[in-house]
Amino acid sequence: MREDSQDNAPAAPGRTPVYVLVWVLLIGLTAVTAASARGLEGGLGVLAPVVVASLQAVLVLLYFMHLKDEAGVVKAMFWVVVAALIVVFLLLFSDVAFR
Amino acid sequence: MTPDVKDAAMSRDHGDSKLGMWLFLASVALFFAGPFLLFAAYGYRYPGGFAAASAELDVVLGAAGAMALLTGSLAVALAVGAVRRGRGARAVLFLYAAALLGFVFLGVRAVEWAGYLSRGLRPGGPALAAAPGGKAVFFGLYFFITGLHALGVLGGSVLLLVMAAMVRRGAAARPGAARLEKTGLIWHMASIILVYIYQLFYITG
Repeated sequence: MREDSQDNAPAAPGRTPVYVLVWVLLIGLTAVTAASARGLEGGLGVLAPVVVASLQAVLVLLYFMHLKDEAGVVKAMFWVVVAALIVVFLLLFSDVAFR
Repeated sequence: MTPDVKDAAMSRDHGDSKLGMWLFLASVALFFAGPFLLFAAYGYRYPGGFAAASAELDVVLGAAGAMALLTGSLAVALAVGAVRRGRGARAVLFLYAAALLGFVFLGVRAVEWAGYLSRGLRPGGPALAAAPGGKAVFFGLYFFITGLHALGVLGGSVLLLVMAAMVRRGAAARPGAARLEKTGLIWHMASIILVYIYQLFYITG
């Protein structure tokens, strides 16, 4: 494990062009989904927005929140939350789908 | 205490409090996961009712609100970067812009809510009482999640104004930047929750 002073050091300032590029992607995805809202039928109509939302969340987490520069314990906590959500979701739908 | 020891202690304090902030954000994510799971389960059970309810939502206003908050996230990220580079005045401008965008978002949400409520689309209202199965649940969850989220955005906007005042007073040194970074995390979390609200409620229908 690295020294505390290294692990806990504040994230380095991100480069402005990267932030702006991420913002353009976020706004673009929002605009595209607004323009094509409710255009997809069936399972794809549910899956596509969830994928787009997750992609937007990952962009915010990695670049605006600097998760990629965080200490290992923070990254581990993030994956524990994701795993917990997936398990709860699967348990819920294993009940709902076969009821 | 020598400057080196003081720096190390400050860095450790920052790391501990930042870990605490991430823990708080994790609990927020799990808290919001509950209503989102309800949304998924009832959406699976009442696909027709959810589609009809989603069609009642104003996609343009929903997208406008999402864009305002995401642009606020950019401003917060730029403010943190500006403080770290010692450009306090620029950071204050970015923080004011982000807070303003927060209030714009709240204004858009208020206009949306007023529109739906005026059409009787409120839990227990006449328009939903006569609606097909699932529509009342959809709007119940919509008002609960968006209301809670709006309260968070209001708190975040006020916090950003407090941070702007601190940076203006000259707290642009490292401790001030660390505090701003943690406040920014709250704002970005509000953006993440909003993209799920927008995509699930406005688009999936």
